[in-house]
Amino acid sequence: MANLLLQDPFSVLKEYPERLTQTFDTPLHTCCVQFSPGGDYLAMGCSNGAVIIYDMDTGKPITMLGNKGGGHVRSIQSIQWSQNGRYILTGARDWFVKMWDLQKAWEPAKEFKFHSPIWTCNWSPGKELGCVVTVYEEDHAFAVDFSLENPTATKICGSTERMNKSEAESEENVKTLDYGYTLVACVHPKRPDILITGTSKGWIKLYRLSDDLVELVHTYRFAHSNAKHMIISQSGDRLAINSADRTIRQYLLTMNDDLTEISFILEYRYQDVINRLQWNCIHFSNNSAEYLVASTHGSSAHDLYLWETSTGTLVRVLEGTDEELLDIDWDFHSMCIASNGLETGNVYIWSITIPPKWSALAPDFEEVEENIEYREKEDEFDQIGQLAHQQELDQAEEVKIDLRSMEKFDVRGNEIDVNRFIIPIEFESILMLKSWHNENE
Amino acid sequence: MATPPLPAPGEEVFCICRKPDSGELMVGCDGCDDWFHFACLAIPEKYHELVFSFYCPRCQAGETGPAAEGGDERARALPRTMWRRKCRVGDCFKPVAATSQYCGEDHARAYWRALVERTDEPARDHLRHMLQEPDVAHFQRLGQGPPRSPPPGSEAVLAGDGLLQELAAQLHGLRTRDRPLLDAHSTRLAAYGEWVRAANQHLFSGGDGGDDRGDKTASARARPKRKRPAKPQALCGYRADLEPPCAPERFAVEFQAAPADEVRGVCARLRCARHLDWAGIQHSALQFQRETLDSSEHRLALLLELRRDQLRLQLYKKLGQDARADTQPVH
Repeated sequence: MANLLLQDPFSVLKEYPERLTQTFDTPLHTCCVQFSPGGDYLAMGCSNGAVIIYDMDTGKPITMLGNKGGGHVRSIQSIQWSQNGRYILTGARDWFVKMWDLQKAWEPAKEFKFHSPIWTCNWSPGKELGCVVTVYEEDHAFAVDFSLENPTATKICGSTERMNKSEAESEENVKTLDYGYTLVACVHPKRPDILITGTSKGWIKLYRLSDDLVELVHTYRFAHSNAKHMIISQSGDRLAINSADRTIRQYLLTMNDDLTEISFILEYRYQDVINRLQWNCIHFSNNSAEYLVASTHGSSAHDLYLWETSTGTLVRVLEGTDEELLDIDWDFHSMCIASNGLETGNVYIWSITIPPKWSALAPDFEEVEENIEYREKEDEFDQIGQLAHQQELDQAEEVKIDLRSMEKFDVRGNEIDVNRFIIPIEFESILMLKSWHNENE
Repeated sequence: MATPPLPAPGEEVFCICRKPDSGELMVGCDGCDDWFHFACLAIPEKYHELVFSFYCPRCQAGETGPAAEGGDERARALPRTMWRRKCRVGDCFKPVAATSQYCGEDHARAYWRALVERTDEPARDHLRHMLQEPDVAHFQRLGQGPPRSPPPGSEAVLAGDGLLQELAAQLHGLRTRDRPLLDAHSTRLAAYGEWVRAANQHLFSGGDGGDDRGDKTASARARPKRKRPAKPQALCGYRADLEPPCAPERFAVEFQAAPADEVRGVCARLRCARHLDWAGIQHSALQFQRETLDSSEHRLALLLELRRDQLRLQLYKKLGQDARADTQPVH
């Protein structure tokens, strides 16, 4: 008799969380949330510029970025964990982008100041400690290189765009295409040299970045309004844009290797036809993004909406809060969704609740709803059958079981073979707390 | 021990030995009203003053006395003999006086004298030191922290500790480098803020002379004038390096002559969403830095103190071990 799983695999493997299970009552007003890559920690950016990191196992805060100075002084707009979980990138309305090394979380490792507030910041996986930043009222996104002693920012601007501009200056009559300000950016997960940006006039721009050359390879107009969010699936072939015209557009993105043929195929549009609500934030599920979750703008709606991307149908409404929700993040390892409330600034966690299957403890028994009459099976007590069964069991035991090599992927297809960074304990601060405590007594 | 004579018939008998009273020292049980010889119960006779409430072995076992007679639950609990606390002086078996550990003032003095006599030379000094504390409050606080008088040789140890030096250097750096920098930045921001205010004053709410000139030259001057009643007009005034490019009057003239979004590197937009609250942000950043500096100074000072205490304690421990090693015979 093989070992049964204590938990029903069909409920364990649910592809999206269903129930509100936890609420973090934070002392500060949370603006944005982001899980660490392994789902061990949750970073929360607050409206006063503080960044707090919660441990998901204990549900308690474990560290605060910049507790010895150098923190942000205005609300955090964007938080990103690096792939290995050691670095955090934060962008805030105080015009700073800061990079934090969690080994030394008490002060920022590097920082760069722009001349206006930050919209978003993203790591660019192609470069060590490089990131892409979009800034308020700037035509182009910036690439910031934090690997240098003094970080530098360079405008991500295609060579053809620059030419257009100089032409425009020489011949004033030639009207160049105005794409508007660049608001959002994301890097293609499979092709780190490709950067996709969204602008205030409804354009998607696709750049190819190489070491010394930036090329604008494709533009596409999706609407005539602001891009608010742009997300891309882990597989890189689905793209969704939340724009100010109250619509989320989901595209199938296809491109060939040398980027000569790129196409955006509109799959579905999601909009609230009745209330015409705006969407606050959107997020894809993992791998090929089978689900899309969004939070709604306005005090009347307190839920997260979850659609199936292959059919465009609403499959689930995540409820349980009584306030408007802002930012969303989805942890694929423990399958939970975090979102922060607008009014209280609390963070809500939805996760999967698994009913225990007690019959797994005694595999010979079976859970039945009501009494059933036992009927002997035809071959139940056959000698030959038993012999064959015994042989089968023996064979099963002869198979060598590999206990030592690690599995590469978990049941949901997430990579687990990565080194998860563990935030070190700050003994000094414990010491300090103790002595302050003594002093105050 | 003298054997008591056998009881005559009809005579009252006591104790577990069941013999009549022979004048020997006895103690009465509080449970069964019987009397018991000290000798039979193997209690030294010198304890006779220390008995507070006595229960005989039978009452303690619950055969007789309150536990056997029953009653409520509390009464049924097995009784125990209670003793008074003995005077701290070793060979005195008198009970202690109220709120004291001694039978009287004499023995208190005698006890402490003996204790000081018994201790070895270095410890005696400390003991004397302790006894010189001015009042009870000070005395009670002894031992809560490390001793105030540093042990000999502590200066050398403190001077040679790397961590301590590093902390001290950090504190020094904070005071001599970071704070002046911060102050310089603050004054620069304040001065530039003043300049922007002056420039705005010249442009919008300045003297009537400015208005006359404006009406004549720039059509753009008319626009801010119209809007003036609603809200005081002001240019954004943000400049990346916070250096006033020229005198505010001159800037006002230049702006009026050629209104643009940017004059001499200064953002000259009227409603600038881009640099919104630039002064406020920089001010709170500086404020934040100042608070951080203050708390770092406090923290470093505290850490220095903790480290010093730690080193002194280690030294004390080492001295104690050395002293013990000296007194023990060498094998």
